[in-house]
Amino acid sequence: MFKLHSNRCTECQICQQICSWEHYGHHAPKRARIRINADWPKSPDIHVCLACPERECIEACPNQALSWEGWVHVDKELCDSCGVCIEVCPAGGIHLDPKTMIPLVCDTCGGQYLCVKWCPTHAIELKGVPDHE
Amino acid sequence: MSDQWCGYTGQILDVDLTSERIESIPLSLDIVENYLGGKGFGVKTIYEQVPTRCDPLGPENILVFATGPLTGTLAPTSGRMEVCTKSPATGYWLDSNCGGYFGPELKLAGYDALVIRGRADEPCLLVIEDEKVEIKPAAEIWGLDTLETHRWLKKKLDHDIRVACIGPAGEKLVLLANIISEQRAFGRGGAGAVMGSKNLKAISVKGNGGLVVAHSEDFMRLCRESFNEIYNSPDSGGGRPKYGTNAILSAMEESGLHPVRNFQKGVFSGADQINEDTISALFDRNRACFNCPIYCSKIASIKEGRYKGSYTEGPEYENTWAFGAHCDNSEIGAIVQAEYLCDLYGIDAISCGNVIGFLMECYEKSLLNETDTGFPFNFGSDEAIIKAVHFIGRKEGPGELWGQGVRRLSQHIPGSEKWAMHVKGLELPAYDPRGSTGISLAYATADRGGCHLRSWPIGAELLVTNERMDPFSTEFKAEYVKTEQDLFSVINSLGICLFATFEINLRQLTPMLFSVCGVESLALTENLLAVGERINNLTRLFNLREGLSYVEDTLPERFRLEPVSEGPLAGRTVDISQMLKEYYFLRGWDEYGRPTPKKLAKLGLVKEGKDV
Repeated sequence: MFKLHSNRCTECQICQQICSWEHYGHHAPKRARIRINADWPKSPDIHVCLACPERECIEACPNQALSWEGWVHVDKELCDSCGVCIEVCPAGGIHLDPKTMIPLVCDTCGGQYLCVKWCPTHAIELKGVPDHE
Repeated sequence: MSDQWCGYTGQILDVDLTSERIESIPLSLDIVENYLGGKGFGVKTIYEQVPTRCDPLGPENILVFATGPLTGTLAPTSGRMEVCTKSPATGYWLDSNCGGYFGPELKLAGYDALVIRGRADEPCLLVIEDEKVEIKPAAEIWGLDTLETHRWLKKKLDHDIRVACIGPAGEKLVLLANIISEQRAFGRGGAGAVMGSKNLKAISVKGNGGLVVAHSEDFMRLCRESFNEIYNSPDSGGGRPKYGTNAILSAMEESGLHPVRNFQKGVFSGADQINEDTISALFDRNRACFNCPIYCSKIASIKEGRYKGSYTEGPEYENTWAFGAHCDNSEIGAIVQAEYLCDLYGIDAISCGNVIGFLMECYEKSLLNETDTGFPFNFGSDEAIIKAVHFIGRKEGPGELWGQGVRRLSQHIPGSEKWAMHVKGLELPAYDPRGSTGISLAYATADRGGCHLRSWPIGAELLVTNERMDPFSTEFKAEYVKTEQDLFSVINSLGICLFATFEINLRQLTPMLFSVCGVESLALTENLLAVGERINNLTRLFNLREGLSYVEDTLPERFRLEPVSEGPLAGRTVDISQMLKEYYFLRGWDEYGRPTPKKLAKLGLVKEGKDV
């Protein structure tokens, strides 16, 4: 799915803005499915689901709330916000929605990958697409 | 009411540190329509609530942190906010704009503005998470530098918080002290000393909410168009992302506007060592403020030599000059180190560099000697620069006096007034006004004193490729400065960055603002400019009430009487008297620079005008 270049990330969070906008129609960067964590002066870390083939999150969920549908789908009815998926994700790509307490996982914006399209520095790109630079 | 607000959160957080009363006050539509946000909210609050001629470092002074309606939205460069107060450095109006992430976070927590009044008995912290607001003791972190303070708070409270804090300089009420937020600064005019006087070490904010806009489809389209314009511009899509604010450095040096040796000349012997190419070779990576595609901020580190390992976020154009050409210093490592130290102590690097260059001239002209300074203080001495920053930041030894800025300092050094380079007590930035009549008038009339960010005619006079104005002619400069001051007050009230507005202007911003907030009266560009004009008249009334006289709408004597000694501007002086007359006339002010009753009536400021 994604190739991440954290050395190019400027910490601007436009990805978080556009992600929350796409999913909720308003600005709520903490509800984005992608997260930028910074520890100045180091390069920021980009955390997002990389759709790894192991899919440990799906295996680990005690309530079978997670399933693979081209992306990791979370069934809100089955989820009890236990956070096991967050713990097992090797990419740190899942976190809890502060509003609903349901895990937020990238759903590719239905294949639009808006974060990739909006990132000013190409810090997040799609696998299989030639590198910017 | 708050449920209906779009763009705005509809609440202002009001904290009295004396009584520990914490209140959330609803925003009124009237204030929005007349003052917009940011600087507008600040001047309205401060004009009404700060007692006339109060001690700026006393409990009666107020600090207003104010966002604008675009802050925190998808509008490009929406990370900006203002801090407004009465300046302890000048005694007049102060607003200082800062990027970073604090403003957007405050809005996500549910507040358009944060008003801080009174004084805590003990060092304290203000901790905000949505509706939960607490005043906590800060004894443990009193004395820490700004970076340590950020790290301590993020470790202790929550990694996701955003912080605005003071360093040791603010705690000790150094008049050059600023407020640092996520390595960005509310830099000029001493707001850090006001925060220190309130015993407030830091503010932490975390917001879990969201911001809604009124007309999402229009807003999204306008944002996308604005982003594209920014990317397609040779400045914000080219030079600025590549070189940061130093993109204009060579252009300024070549036109002789880059002042050298405390504005004595316009030719810098270190220009080969210090220019945008040598500086950009130090950049390790880019950094941006919230939602900014321009990323003009850089993390730079020194790779070799005596300053190997020094790093900073920057160095910014102004600071490169203040610790570079201004002090005739061509050791780039010292510039990086000095800027880093200023950020840690929490002092304004422009004013700090100004003070050092001023002292160097005093030393050169033998008004000061080694017994006064404690060490050799020659122009070009990078060691003197670093030592002086430490003394000022710690308020130690001679630094106690130096940290008061060049106006006060020159009063202690008889004979030095002639080269005290300030307007209304605020030290000057990196453009020699003898090479730009526009910036001359802009300096002389800026509401917070010697400042290049109330109007910046440099671009129109020396940098644009189309319709460039003659930098030596005085024609149309009053019109230009007046209109741009009004525009910049609008921008500083909207919550976006001036750097975006070199490409996108009110043609895009007016419909964008309407799509965000849906307030009908703000959908007209002329109404927005009237808001800008209202703000600038109210800051003027504030300054007049504090005792400002038109006599202070002037430039330091050097620019008027002393021709530039060498370089492209050799032989030039500047005379602003004609432009100033025109400026007063265009502003609707009388010959003493006072807004006329007619102008005040037009702007709805009759009640306010009665105080003056």
